[in-house]
Amino acid sequence: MSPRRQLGNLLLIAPLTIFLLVMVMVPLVIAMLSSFGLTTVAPGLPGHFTLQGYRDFFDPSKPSLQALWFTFKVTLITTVISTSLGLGLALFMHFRKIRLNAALSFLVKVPLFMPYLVTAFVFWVLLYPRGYIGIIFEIIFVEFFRLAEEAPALVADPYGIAIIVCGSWMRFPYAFVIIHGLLQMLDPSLEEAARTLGARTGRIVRRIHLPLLGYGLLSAVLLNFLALFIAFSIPFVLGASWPQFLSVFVYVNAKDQGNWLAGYTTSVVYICVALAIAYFYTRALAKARKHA
Amino acid sequence: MTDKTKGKSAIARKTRTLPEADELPVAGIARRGFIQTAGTAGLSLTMLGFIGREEAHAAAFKPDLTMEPNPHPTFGYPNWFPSWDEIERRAKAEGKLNVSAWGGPETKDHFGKICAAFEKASGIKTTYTHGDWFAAQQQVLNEVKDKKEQGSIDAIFLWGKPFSNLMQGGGVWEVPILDILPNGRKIAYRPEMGRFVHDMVPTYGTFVPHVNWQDCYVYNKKKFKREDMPQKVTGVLEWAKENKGEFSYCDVNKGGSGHTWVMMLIYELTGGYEKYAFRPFVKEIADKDWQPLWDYLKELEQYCYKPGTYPQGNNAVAQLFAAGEITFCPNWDAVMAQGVIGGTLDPEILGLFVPEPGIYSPMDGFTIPVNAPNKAAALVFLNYITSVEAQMQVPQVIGAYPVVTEAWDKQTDKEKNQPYHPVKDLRAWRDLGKMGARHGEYMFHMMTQWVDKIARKN
Repeated sequence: MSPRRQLGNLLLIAPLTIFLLVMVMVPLVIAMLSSFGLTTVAPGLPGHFTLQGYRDFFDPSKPSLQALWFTFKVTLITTVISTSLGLGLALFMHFRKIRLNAALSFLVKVPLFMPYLVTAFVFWVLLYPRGYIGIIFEIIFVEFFRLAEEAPALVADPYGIAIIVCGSWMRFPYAFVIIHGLLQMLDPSLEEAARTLGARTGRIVRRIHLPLLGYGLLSAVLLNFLALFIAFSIPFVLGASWPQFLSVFVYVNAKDQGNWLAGYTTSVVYICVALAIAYFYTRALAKARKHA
Repeated sequence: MTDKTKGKSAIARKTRTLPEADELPVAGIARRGFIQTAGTAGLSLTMLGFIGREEAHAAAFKPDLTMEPNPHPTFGYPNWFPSWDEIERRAKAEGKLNVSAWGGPETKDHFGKICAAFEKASGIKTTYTHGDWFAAQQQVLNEVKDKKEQGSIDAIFLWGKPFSNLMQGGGVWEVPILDILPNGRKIAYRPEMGRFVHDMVPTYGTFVPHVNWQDCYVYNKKKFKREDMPQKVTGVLEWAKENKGEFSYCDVNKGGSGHTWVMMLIYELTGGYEKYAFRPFVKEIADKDWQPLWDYLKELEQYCYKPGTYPQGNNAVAQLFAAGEITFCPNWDAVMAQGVIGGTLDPEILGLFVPEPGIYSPMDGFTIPVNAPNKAAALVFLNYITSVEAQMQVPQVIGAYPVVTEAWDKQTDKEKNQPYHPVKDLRAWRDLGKMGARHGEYMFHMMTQWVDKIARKN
């Protein structure tokens, strides 16, 4: 490419690059500086250097680490469930040779087009004690199996049950779409050869599909984990008073309680964890491309 | 002609018009008798209200702690001081107004209607923004910080905390607007009604109350009688022990009915209202004296509905109540009203009352930001929404009490007897009765502590 053409390309992409840099970097820098108390963008920030926010965050007697752990735990469980559902459905359709026609495709992909907030409210209505699922759960849990005197709360519960259920429903199509697409690209002769040699389905999945789907699966896991880890609407609507999801914790600290230093510090930790996951995700994608 | 000669001729003209003393028609009445008769007649007419009526009313407080309109005409104001007529003229000249408020759909409906009616009545183009109190407060504070002289909000609806933030952030137009508004006199002269304080934040007259939400004890009257319910605000624990799993209150950070009720518990359990009322926030008091409150709430938790879980908002509690999951909870009159009006709550089960000595509830209202570009229009708007006609809409649309009690008096019996209004004689109960206010700073402190002390398992 001639230097002139290169310069032209640079000039063409420069506005977008600058725009993105400003839009991404400025809030990040402000959040970073504010977490050290170096700005006065919000009321209550000291305007001078302090590590108080970080001291408070990493103090085990304070609630921040508990919120981080809860967020991590619930996100991990949801990721495992949603990815397993997506993988299971994709493999089931693959082995049963079910074609993904328009109707089925629509049904599976509905969650992709649902706003998180709306879905959270839908699940709230379904899961609260007089919602359909709530009633069914009570019948099974209390009346049929007599496991307890009363059914545990499914919404606003301390275990994050509602968040896990709603998050799994929202995210399983992502895993399904990725894995289903990869399965279509697999060489069928490998599976046929295994069958000819007497391998059962379970073994075929373990020895052929999972190794070949590895990077796709990893990217689905990381994508789901990241999306849920940073989610706000679902834990805000369905979460309990405590433990709180980290995003809700930031919101409550900053907006409801006016503790902006804690809000910004938690945000920075949050961003760092999310960026680390994003780094692994992009690395996994790069490796997948390399192996392809 | 000089002034001196002009004066002399005027006196001469006046002298010529007076009849001579010896020409007076005496007709058998002496001077002393005339003075006595005239004096008696004058006093009688005054007592009957024919003479000096305006002045007497203007000077007198009415027994309901309101005042008559000021009869002093415009000439009472020097040129440098704006009369209300002048404010109205300037408002018309400004010609537009930006109003910002927040709340549920019913509040949106209320303010939408009221703004439209104001625009129609005044000809002032009124733009209503329904949003988030925090965003609106931040907008004003940021504009003030950026020294933006012409802001974007003319009248902003606030609860105690953002009002405090705006006051302390220099965002409030520090003019005693409540005393300027002619309709401000219709609000009873009680300190807690926004005159001195809003959630114990000093107002200096810069705040115009608009709606009186009332936190109440809500119970299922099909299952319980009124006398079965706790008569005192602190009686919940005993009741909950006897009726395990039947009571709940909302997460204090997610709904006002929860934190308003807990604020009342603070008053009752940790030293009384007088200990906090009209006094500044002292963190040491909260740290040192609040253990009885935390003990009470911790013990209560064991007997609550699904112990350890708290409904996430006023509506969530109302929904549990409507579904029959709980039979007793504190909640706002307006929230329960929306359930009845919307058909999601059976009015036959709704019992509602205010326990002794009360659940001191807020009177949210408006202030004018310091950089409001249309301050005269904002004043005229605030006067309009404090009129009896506009205030009458508050119970009908929102389901809460108006701050102008006359607007409650004029409601139909049907409206007054709705099950979501806990008190029928508002004047005797509120304006002339025992009144209190939440302490915004202590309440806020309690909200930050509640998660650690109650919701978070140690």
